[in-house]
Amino acid sequence: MEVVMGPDNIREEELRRLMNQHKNDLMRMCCVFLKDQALAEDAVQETFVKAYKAMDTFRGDSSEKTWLTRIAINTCRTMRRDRWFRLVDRSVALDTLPLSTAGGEDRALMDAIMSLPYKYREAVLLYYYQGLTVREMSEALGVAASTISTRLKKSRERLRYDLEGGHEHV
Amino acid sequence: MCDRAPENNAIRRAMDACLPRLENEADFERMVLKQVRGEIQVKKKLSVGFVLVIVLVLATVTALAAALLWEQQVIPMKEIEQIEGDYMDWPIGRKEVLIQALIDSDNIAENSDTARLFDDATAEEEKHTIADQLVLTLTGQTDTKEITVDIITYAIMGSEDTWTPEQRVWWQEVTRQFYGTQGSSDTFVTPNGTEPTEAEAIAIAKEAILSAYELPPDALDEIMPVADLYVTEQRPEYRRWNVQFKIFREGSDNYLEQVYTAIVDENGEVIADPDISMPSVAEMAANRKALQGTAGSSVIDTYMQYVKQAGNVSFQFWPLELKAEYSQDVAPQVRAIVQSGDLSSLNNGGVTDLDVIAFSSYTYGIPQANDITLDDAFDIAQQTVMENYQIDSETVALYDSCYVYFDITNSNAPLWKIVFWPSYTSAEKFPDGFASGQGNLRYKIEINSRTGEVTKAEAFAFQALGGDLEYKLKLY
Repeated sequence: MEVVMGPDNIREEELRRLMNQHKNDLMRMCCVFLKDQALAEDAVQETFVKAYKAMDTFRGDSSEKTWLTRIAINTCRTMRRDRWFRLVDRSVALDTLPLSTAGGEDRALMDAIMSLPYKYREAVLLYYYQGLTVREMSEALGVAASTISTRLKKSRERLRYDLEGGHEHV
Repeated sequence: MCDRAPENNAIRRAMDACLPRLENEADFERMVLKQVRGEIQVKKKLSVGFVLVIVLVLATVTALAAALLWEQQVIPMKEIEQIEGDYMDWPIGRKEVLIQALIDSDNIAENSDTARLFDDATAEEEKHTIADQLVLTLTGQTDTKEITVDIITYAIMGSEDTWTPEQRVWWQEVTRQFYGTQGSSDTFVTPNGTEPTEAEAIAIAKEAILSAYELPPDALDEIMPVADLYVTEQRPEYRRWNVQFKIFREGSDNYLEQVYTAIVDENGEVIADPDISMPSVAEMAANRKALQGTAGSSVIDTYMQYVKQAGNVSFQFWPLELKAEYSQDVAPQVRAIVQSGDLSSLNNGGVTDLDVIAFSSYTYGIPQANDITLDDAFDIAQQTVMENYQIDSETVALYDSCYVYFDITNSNAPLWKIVFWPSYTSAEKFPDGFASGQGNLRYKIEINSRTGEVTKAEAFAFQALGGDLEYKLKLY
């Protein structure tokens, strides 16, 4: 008997594909934005739920990755604006972010990225990790392209300084 | 590092190596699918009762907001921000509207600058400069990139921690109007007499926290608590206080070192609140105790305990007393390991920690009565840098993040060692930045602490990550 896939089945299959392809990249990105693994997992879950609901409206005018990244950024931003994100006992949550025992250089770079101000961290991740163009970042973040370029430049300078023994903080 | 080509993308490599993947991918996908099928209700619809609470709150808020000056301006300004984006991208007409709103709310005084701003004869570029300067002065920011309506609001009204319950309720409604309610599980409410007063809630919370964390009775006396009264979607009739004691790093008002939290309900009971995923005070205290007790016994673990004690700053910035304690406690073990030739126990994050080896090579102590003071030593060191390297006072002032050591490796000739280092902010001010020229140079001056004689003066270029031990030794 031929199994006919209804529209919901097709969308679920599509959702599974998106999750398979993008969930871990989004997870790492949300971890850096939210500095909390559990919250990051919630954010990634919520991202895919929103993506599922908005699937029909995705016009293909950006890549899937850009589209999902944009949803994830907005989800993380909303979570960060929630007063309870700022008030919850962050000292415990930060300690539990499981940064692996990766090599010294990787760990040092990761520490430097985590210590960047939020907007710089956001710019670095979207550009170097998610591979968005400046234009895509401008659309995703709702800021001018010149602002994005400035943030990237400042981030690079700050990372370079911190990694080259600037030693402002551990 | 900053190349996006896959083979050179160090950021991608570092993130993939350092950050977690999803712990249970199968469960994750199952949860998402359950949500999209509606098998799990994640976002509950507002109950009629909760809607009534919102209506009553809004009515109260509206009445209060009418009496407040800047608060009346916030929504129109945020509407402009929604259309125009960040302040720095606003056309001059919008900036003029903002400045007028700040004048009308008595946050900026009318003066010759504002007159020039509103004068049609003034060139547009000058108008932008005037408007930007007025806003930067008001907010204390140095870059228009940082200006938002929220930043202006905080500059006028102060930190949210200092706000009244009515102001917090108002701000939450403004925030929801522009950012929605997604992810928000709670609503602030104003006291109505059916719950403990704010002072009572704080007292109850304080007692519970002191007990659970086994703190001395006066541990929280100097801390200004913050208390928010709230209800949740799940239980809109149940009023609770969230009481927080926040401890900031010394000298900072935004670097949070520790937070103690307790939820006090309308009956005066200290509770866990699953509505906002807040554990009980006892559970949070137990968690923290468990984390603090997980340090290993290796030399590196012991060193990391010192780092924590120092407030998570590099060795260079530890107090002299802590450096001295480390020198007695840990440094001899490090030297013994180095001498043995097996450096495996000095592995930190996958590589041998050369910094630990470097600062363990010296013995540090504390100056005594017959040693010159740090102030005197610093003056001598600064003078030496200026004279030996022909640097003017303005340039040497950019070296504002110096490392200081009292080295007693030779107990007969203890040394003040001062390494001149610029902070990141100052380093940007060198003509060529910090990558080359003057900004690339560092200076190390060693001074006999008994005689004040300069025994060594050295200039060196700071190096990229991976500097060898010879370089590391210069830093300590």
